[in-house]
Amino acid sequence: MNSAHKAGPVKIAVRSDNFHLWRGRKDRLASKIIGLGGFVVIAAVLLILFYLIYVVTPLFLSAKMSRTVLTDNPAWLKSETSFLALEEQQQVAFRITENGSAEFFRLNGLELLESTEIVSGGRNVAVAMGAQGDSGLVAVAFEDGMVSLLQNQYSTDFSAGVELRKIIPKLDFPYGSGQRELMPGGGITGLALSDNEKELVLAVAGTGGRVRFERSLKREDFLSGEVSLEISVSALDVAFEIVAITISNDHRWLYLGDESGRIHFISTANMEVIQVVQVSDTIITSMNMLLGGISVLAGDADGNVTQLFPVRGGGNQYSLKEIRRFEGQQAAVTRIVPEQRRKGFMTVDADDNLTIFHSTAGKVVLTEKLSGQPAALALAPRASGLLVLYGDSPAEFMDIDNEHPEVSFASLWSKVWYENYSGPEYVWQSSASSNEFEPKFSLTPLAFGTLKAALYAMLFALPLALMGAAYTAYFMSPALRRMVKPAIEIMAALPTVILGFLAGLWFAPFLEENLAGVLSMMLVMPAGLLLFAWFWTRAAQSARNLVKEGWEPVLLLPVLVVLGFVSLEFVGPLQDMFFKGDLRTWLSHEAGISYDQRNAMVVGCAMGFAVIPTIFSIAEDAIYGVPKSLSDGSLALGATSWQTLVRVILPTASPGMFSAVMIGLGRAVGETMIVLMATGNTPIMDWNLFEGMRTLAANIAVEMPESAMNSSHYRILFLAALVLFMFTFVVNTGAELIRQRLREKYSSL
Amino acid sequence: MTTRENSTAIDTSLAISTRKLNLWYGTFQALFDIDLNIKQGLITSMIGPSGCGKSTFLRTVNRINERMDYVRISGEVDVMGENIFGSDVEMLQVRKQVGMVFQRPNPLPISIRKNILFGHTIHTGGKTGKAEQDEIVESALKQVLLWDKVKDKLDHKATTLSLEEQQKLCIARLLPVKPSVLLMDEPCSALDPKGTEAVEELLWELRGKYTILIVTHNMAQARRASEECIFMLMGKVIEHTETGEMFLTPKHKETTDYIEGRYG
Repeated sequence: MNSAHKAGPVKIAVRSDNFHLWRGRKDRLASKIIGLGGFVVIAAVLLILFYLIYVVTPLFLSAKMSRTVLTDNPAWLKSETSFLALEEQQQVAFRITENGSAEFFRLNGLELLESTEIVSGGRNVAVAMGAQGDSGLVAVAFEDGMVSLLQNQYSTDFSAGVELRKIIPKLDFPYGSGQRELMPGGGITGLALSDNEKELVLAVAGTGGRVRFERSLKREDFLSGEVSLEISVSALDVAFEIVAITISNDHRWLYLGDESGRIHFISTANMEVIQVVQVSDTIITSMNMLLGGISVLAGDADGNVTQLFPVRGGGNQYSLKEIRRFEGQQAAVTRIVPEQRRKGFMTVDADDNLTIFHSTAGKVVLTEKLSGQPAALALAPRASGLLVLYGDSPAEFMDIDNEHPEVSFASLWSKVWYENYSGPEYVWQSSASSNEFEPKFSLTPLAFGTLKAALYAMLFALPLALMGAAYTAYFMSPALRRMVKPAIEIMAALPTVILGFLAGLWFAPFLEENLAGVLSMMLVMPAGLLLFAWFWTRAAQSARNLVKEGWEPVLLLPVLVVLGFVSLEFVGPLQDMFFKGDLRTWLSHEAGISYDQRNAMVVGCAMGFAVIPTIFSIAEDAIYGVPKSLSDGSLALGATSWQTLVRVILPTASPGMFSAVMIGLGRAVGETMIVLMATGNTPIMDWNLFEGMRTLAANIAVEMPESAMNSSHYRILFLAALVLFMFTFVVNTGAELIRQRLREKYSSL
Repeated sequence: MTTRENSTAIDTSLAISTRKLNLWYGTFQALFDIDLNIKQGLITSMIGPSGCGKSTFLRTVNRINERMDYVRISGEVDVMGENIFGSDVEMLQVRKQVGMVFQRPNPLPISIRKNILFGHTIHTGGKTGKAEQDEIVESALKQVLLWDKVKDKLDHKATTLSLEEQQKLCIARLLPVKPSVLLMDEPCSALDPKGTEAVEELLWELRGKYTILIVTHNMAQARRASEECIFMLMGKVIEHTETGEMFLTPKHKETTDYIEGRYG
């Protein structure tokens, strides 16, 4: 009781100098090891931070370009080029000359490899146009109104080793070498070509507002595998001069640009003009489709490029909407060249400026002044090389280092209007099977999901953990506390994968079936417990003497079980009365609240369960650590236990309790397995308790294995990790600062 | 200093009286059949070696011990003529009646003013006006001779005071609750000699207004600062007489041995 202890006789041993020397060494060694341990921990954390930054940085580096002037024009290159293409390895190029030859040549030394006359006898080419993507299909329109289809293809010969691999070009006529007469009499000014598995579509525009649209349905013979075409041609005559023509990849829409800055949006089903959109005050100088064939890019004489695509409105009616405008150039846009694997494109203006854009990010990636107005220009399939032929100066090859054009602050955090969406939205949808897919890298829904999960988990965990801690530390009998505390702490050792598994496979279906029961349990249990406690205080002294002070929680256990049972079993009539028999159905059908089986409530409970031990344990220690003298002092003044707890103990323990909450929050934010398994991982932005979410951490876990190393996707996942890291860092630092201030204010004796 | 009770008029009715008070901590019995009668208005000191049950007795009178579930009590304790274990007695009323000062000064980590008003606020629900509160603070601090020292820093944290001042503050904060008995558990053991002297002077000042029961290890203090003295050993009361008598002519051999420092 009193702190004075009887001191036993003290033995004073005389130690040798060696002993002191040895002890000093041990002291120094121990302090060094401990110091080193601390240093290693800090170094490891910094190393993680630096590695994350190292992986993320390239996302924000600007693109670079290096130029090489190729050997001066050999004689064969002098003839005018109508079409130019570059193969993937950037070793061999393909062109169609104005006089109707298809030529393959090696970039290195501009050596002519193969030259073929498309039509024997030689005829002059009016327009040549490649198909969307990197199929190598090219349509060539001649001055007499005939059109040929051909394909430049490449195979690689590795027989001399990987380093000396040889590109073998091949000219092919996949749809026959015959010509189709699309515009008898000639006068073709524009050409559009699109090819997919079902049909091949050719559209030509001619002088005097003539449009011919040829659709060839592909029929494959089952036995021979031969493809036969079933051709139909429709014609449209408009009252303006057509300066540009393109078709969408689904072949439903035809776009015509005119001289007064308008785009005519035409349905190919009946060749009717649906809409005319004014995109510019000046003439449309160039038009092309973005990869995927959904967006139209139209350049005007002022140097503006406008992106448009059809948006589905009410009644399934499509209308062409201006999505965004790129203002990177000063003079008229002479060419728009889409990239073949990404949603980027490049333009050339009348002042010889080359500009690379990215549509989703809505930004200018790079601007470069060319040596003159290019006669022809070809972008390699990976958009990493550019071949430019000039009329009079030597050809140039440009190496483009542009790995991550799709990343900008806006594309990561702001609303973006993606293709096929009816408006700007926050979307995370990182990959799909096809190159033509527009990746959607908005981190906002993920950050939102993280906060949502953490919030619901804290809502569930905080009251239970903190009140439990206060009771256990202050009111509970020591004997009971010795059992309860370790039991709760063992909960922290439960692998979260098991919690997630139980939550996803047992609790989620259970909740769906007993939604009303579980919700009513959340009301009935606290109310029932308070009621029971009130009756207990009114109970006869003899009854209360049966249970010692501090052991009352044991009494509550059967009460809890009964209350739980009652909530689950007897909620039926209430449901019948208010919710037409089933709350779950009522929610989705009557209240219009959508309900996912794996929702925020499941996560809140499961993750709350996971963070309760952490919060409870630290908070309990903090409350238990308040010196007994303080509570004795307060009690001796006649304060009740409750008053002492609220006015003395909790304020004094508040720094520790605050830490507990923050550490719990940090854990809830970073928790991966539970949210991964207990939600549908749909990156939606909705506070609805009955819908799921996708958190930053779960997203990393789901997508990291499938992302290509060093791709934008990969680096953005690292960025998500960095965001998570910074978030925890900021929360913990803030928490520590607040804790220090609280500690100063309520420091104990 | 030994024959003080002659110089003051004392109401001799009893402040604390116990009959057959036994107390167990689990299986360990700490108090054996304590029968004590402590007179109102006197300063009574309790001496005895460590572990003899002095503090336990004090904590029993204040009913602080009961918070621990392994404590078991039998017998009766009357404070101001009322059985504190009676079924119709509120524990809080007992604690209001009986203030307690602990070995280590334990002011709450809030301002001096709030410390003084803590007990008062709890019992009145904090409905008193500012003027009245100021009066309470001033009168309490004046009674413990602390007013002049702290009147300009009432909003400072109580823990910034010196230990002696803290202990006086702990006494002062009992006074607004208007207790009749003050229990002091070695109130000077954490103080230096000057502080001890100041607190003893204060006790003497409070004598008559309150019944003071003080546990001490310091026999000189018991001799200087009390009128009656109780000697306890192994949970039993050995001797209870006037202080002067106890130190001059102890009746029991154990008392003599303890006073002369043979053990304890």
